[in-house]
Amino acid sequence: MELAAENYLVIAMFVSFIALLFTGFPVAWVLAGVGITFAGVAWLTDDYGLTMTGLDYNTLGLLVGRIFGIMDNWVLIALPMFIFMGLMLEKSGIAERMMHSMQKLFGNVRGGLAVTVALIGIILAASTGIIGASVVLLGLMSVPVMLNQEYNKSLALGTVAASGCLGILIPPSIMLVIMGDQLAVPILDLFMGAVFPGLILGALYIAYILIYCKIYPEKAPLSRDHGEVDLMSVLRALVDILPPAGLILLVLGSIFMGISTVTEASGIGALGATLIAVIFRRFNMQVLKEVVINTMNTAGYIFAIFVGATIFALVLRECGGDELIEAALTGLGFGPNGLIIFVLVVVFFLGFFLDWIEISLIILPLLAPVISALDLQINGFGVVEYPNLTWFALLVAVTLQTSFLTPPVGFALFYLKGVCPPNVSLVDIYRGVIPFIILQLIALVLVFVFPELVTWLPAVAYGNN
Amino acid sequence: MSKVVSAETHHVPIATFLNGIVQRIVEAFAWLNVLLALLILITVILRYGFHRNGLLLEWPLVPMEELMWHLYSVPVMFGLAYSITNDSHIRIDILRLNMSNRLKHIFEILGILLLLMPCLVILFDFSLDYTVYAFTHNESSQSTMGLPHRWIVKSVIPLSMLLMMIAAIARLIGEVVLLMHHGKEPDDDTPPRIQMTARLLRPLLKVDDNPHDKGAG
Amino acid sequence: SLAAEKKVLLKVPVWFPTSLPALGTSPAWVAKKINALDGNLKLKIYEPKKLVPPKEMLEAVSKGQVNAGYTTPGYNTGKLGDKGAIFSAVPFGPDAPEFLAWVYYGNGRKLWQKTYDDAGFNVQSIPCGIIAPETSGWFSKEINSPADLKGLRMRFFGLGARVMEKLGVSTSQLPGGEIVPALQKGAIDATEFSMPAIDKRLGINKILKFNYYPGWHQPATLFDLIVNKDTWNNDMSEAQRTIVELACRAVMTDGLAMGESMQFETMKENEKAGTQNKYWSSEMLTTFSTKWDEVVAEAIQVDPGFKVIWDDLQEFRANYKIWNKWAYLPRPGTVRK
Ligand code: NA
Ligand code: NA
Repeated sequence: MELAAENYLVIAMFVSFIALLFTGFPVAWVLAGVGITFAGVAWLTDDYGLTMTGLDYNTLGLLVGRIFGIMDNWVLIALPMFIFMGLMLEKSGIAERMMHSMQKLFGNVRGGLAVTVALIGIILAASTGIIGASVVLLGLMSVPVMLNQEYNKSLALGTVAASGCLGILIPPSIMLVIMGDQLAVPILDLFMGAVFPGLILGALYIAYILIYCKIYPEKAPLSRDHGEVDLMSVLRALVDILPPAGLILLVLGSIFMGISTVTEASGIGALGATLIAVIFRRFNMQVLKEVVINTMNTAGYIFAIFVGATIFALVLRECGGDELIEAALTGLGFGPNGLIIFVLVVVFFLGFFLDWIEISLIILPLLAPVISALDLQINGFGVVEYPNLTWFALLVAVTLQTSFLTPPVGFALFYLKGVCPPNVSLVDIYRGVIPFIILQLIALVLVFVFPELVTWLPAVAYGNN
Repeated sequence: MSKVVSAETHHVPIATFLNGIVQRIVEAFAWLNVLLALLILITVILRYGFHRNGLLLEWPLVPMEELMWHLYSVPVMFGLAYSITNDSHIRIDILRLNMSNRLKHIFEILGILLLLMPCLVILFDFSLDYTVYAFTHNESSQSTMGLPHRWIVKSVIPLSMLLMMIAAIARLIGEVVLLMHHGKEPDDDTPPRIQMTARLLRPLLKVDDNPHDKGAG
Repeated sequence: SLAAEKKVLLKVPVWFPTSLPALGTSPAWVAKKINALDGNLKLKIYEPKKLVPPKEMLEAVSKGQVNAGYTTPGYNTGKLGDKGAIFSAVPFGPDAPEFLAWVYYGNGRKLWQKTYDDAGFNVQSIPCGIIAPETSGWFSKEINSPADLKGLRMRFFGLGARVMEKLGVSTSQLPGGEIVPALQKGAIDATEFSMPAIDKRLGINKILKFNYYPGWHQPATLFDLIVNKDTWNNDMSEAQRTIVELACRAVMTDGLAMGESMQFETMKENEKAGTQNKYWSSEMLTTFSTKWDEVVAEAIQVDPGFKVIWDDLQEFRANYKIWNKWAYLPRPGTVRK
């Protein structure tokens, strides 16, 4: 492939971006700064007749319109609202109550504690979608108990780290909201498409825990003081579990049945979580203030990446980056499936260093046109509008599950380390997550081989209309 | 006070002061998220409760829907500045974890000066123009029933750039002072004449962790 | 002279994805033809949102942040006022031949350019594409009387949206790509977008079964290529400007012909798949027409600039009527029931 002068700018942009990332300066500002700098470089090289990008100072004015395009994006309103909902359940102590009740129910099952963690992970998943919050919450509440009960360290830590990450896959998930926006695929389709992959992942975790404990009973001893599970304790547990679980059903149900939009459901979810906190007498102004400020802060650093990425993408595009990437990917000579596998392998390895926000915001938009053009023959049952992109988005979403667990940059690992007792080392955590990374890869293979796992549910839902 | 100066134990009063201003402003606007949730609820009630039954049809939904993204965009954009004040922006910190504090300060200073600041200044320049343009052209929604006065929500962009500049300058001052005093004991023998200014720029022991120091996740 | 001609690259962000017949293919056709000349003028098309969100296009072109764009004034009423929409489509207004007659040989084009100039936009507008009638909406149920419209939430374009609002419809002007997701999510109950073959690309027919005709709200729709005036006047040679003008005139024919050629196949397919094609009852058409007169009366009240354009168009139409009355057969085969 003959490289035009502009292409060297594109390559230089990527190289500088990656190099500067490792200085530890915030990702958003590295993206923005590299974008602005290369606009200047291109302006100069244009002046000297080396390139013809058309970039100059004035072109950067486009950035403001692009930022406004993020601000008036009706779909993204769901983002702070889902963050609000998750934080309210966490900060009000509702989630913690749910955890304690569940623990009592499973006290007599070998590995029961670990199974509880996985189940709570799934329920929290469906509510928060905020990795940090779920991992910290699960870690704080269950790691000391499990270690105290002389659970095997690796099993305990791996379960917490992996379960805490389910939230980003199981809907409602802020990652899927962002992916839908970036790929121009209905978010509803992604939500529905994620249900089976998410449940499969959860089921794999639970099956693994139970089988592991069956084979090595000494690694998961029963609690020394486990009591009888009587009707009262079951009822008491249900009182704690049902309201948040009901809220989640309400939110997801109203979206899936087409009663409300994702945005509307997110707002109702936020208020619903607040209402539950009030009913459980866990609500006060301090809690509300913390939730409000943390919601703003979390949305703030996610949107910083939006802003950085839009700056980087504009300059990259003006330098012909889109065409170069398309040519490079199609020039690899892979067939459609080969190309998808290649992309997933790249995403997997990028996940060692980056996390879902950067990958969803920088990589996905670059890949979208190439993937849409592929002849994948994904069965959309004649009703799913973009079966290729929906399936692809979910493959990436499942792959990104690994990014939280893979060293050196794994958010779940860091958060978990932060809340563990001092005798737990980072190496213990690394060792613990390996089986779960393998399970995630198994789930990925399943979704790859059976695309209907993704497309069937949305197809059935629309088919009934 | 025999402790040596480091970023973990010391802060710079002027930087803390500037951060405080930004934080107080943005925290006030964060409450718009509650308003947003309530507005969504009202819209849902109108849409599914009343409009479905042909009631309150005169109450148009389009302006309410537009108001939704007006409300959503303010805390989100101002949140960018907030995340600078409490350093919660996402970093790739594998190498940074093993860097000396001196190197960390140097990278941070260079990053603010070369990557962040130019971007903020340029965006401020264009967004101010963008807002004024909307004002002088009397721009409104392109939906016939939409909201007028687009310049109000557009002014959020230059304002958030301004807040970010303040936060970035605060951070810059803090980093420079900490770099200069790094590993030294804080000196108390400044001549009285310049003591007021000096005091603002001298690292002080942190009394207590800022309660909003950590992002949510 | 040719020797002094500069190399010019017009970057053209477009309002519609280039996959949409006529709406999207027209600017792509213009670019392809001009680029094939292999001269000093090149056009590069950018899909919606790739450079700038469509809504920001006019301002960006005016400021020279990007030097061109493909749009229609009806999408920029927030910046041009309601009068802008007249140059896109007029409810109960002219069809394609009459519209083009007014634009090219009446005062239409002059007033079109003046609308941009008066609003303070530094752009040269080149009319660049037209399509025949659009369908006037997709619904989930039959609409037999104005009461059936009450309480509906509908995507609707331009001045026609005002008419629907008067009938108790809550309208919004979603971009094409957001219509089907909004329908699926229940954010809207009904929509119009464009012609059947274009609507089918979006998948509207899969969700809504009742497709209403005639296109009273858009008997014909015009589009324009806008070019930053400094680029147009200072950077481009007379020859380059002529090339653009010619290509845009040519795409008027191409887009119109393409649109007219591809609807019937789609309508046959749609009917086979369960779509019911409906023609508005005369009661409904009268209702729309009466409400439209109210909308015009209000628009004239609010904006004197609207009146200037409206009066000019009315005068032209009054004269055209003399010719139209005698020259044309009643359109053969039109459904009227
Ligand atoms: Na979730
Ligand atoms: Na990782």
